[in-house]
Amino acid sequence: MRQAFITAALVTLAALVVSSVAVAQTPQSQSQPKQAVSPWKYYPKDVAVGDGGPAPKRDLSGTWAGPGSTPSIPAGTPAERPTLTPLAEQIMGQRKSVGRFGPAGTNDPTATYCDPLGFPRDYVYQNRAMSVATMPNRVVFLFQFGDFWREVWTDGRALPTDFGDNRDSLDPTFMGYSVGRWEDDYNFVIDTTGLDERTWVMNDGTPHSVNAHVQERWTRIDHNTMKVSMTIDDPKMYTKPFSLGTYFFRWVPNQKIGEWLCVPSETLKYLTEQGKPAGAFPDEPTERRGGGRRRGQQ
Amino acid sequence: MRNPVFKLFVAFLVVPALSSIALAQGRGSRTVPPGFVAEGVPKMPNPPGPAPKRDLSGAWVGPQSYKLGPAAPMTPAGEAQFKERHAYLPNGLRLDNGELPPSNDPFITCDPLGFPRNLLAHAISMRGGMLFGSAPNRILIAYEQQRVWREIWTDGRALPKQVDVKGAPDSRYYGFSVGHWEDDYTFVIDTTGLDERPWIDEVGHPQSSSAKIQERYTRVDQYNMKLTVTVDDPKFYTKPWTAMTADLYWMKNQEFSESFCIPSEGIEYRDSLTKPSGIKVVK
Repeated sequence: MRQAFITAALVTLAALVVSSVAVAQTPQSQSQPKQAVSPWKYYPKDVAVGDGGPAPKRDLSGTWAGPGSTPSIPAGTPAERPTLTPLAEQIMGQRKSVGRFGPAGTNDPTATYCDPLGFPRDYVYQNRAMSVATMPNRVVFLFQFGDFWREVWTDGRALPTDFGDNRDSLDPTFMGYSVGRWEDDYNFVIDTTGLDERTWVMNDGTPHSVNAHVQERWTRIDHNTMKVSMTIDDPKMYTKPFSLGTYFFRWVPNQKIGEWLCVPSETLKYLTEQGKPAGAFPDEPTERRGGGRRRGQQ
Repeated sequence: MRNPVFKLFVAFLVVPALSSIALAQGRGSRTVPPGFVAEGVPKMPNPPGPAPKRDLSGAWVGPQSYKLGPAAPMTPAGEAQFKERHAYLPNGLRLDNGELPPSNDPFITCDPLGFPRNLLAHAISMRGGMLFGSAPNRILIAYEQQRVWREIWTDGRALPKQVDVKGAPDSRYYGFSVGHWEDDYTFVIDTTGLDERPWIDEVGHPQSSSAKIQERYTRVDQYNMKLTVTVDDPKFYTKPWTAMTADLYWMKNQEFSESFCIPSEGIEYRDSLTKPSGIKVVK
């Protein structure tokens, strides 16, 4: 179904504008069958029932449905509104979100080109399904959206700090550099830094520096439920750390999720044929609300 | 060290356009410094230990020393698809006037490479990476290039018989895959249900959604693995053919860099450099 990919691109844009409506019409929802018959299909409404028993110890592995995939995902907490430094305010002044400017007026690199969302926006905005796997010395998160993966090192290494222009400096990355540790049998804490400054933290364009420090606290509540609470600290951009929200995940019974790629050529075609001709939204006074998903926006 | 991603993309455009040798001969033609099995690939201690049984887990460098094709003769349907595709370097051929034909390679805009084209590394080093891991009932393969992943089901399920019809799953850029151990050292993956838009290789050979692609990974010893990729696609080819043979080598530090083709950079490159240079690009 080729149209699914075009639809996916449209949804990527439209979800930012009219979130609740767009999400209700995603390809997954449209393809929801009366009964699950294929082991190869993702059925977002085929949700796990009950708690599934106690949480396994030190284990997040499996395939999970996340915020926006189905109403049965518990409501989380949206991101807070950060207080920006003058530098961040200056950057924000140059960023045009889809929500304020529409597909024709935005300069959101994902909405305009399908550039990777990067971390942490891939959690804050769009993580309807993912898998988690344990591999040698690392935990790997594998996302439905974009088919991207991210690794979290668990071998005790320290987070890198040098992202300068020295010979041995590390390059900033879209996914960042991450280390994780089990705080106890059910709480896995991940620290991430080294994020490419081109990526937006939230849909409104909130910026970050390469030295931003994001902390995730994953809690395996029971077999079928886990949640993550995220905070970001970046003195260059914010006057104090703030919460990026709390998001819940539920076990997918058949452990199968979809492939949902943002295809650049389709996005360009959409913008040329539909988005741009529709015109940009009139510029309205900024009303910054933070970028997290809110109750009712599933 | 900044901007490696842009370099990657530039490399993709420049390497095929200027160097058929690079693709035809893989990495074997470059000078290998002491202590390395190939440029950028540190040599592991010799002799390698024996291959562990039924275990590919870990990070591998490759494909190296690869051979691509040749493709089998195409059916009329395959020919019809193929003639619509214009690679940067269509088998080394140029137009009568010496120019390269205008390319409509979907990777110009960083569209997903899809499987099996993503097996070939597009970085300037011609060096890629694959991380094998596992989750219940499946083998996972995470790629350095584009940071995409695939899952290979090992629970005995049959491949989907159809895609893109009612009740069946939608075709996918990376298809649907099942795998089994043929013996203690050879893991065989069968894939079908591929989206028909991606190119199967650099020159634009087509793939149908009913194509069956088989990968055979044979672990020779602790540090060496061999890969053979075959294509069986009666809709587009008159007989099965071998798309790639290649070697994989154990990655010493087991770590990947982040290699993205960033669409905004690719499109900027296309519009600011490629087009003004005279290389024709079809939108």
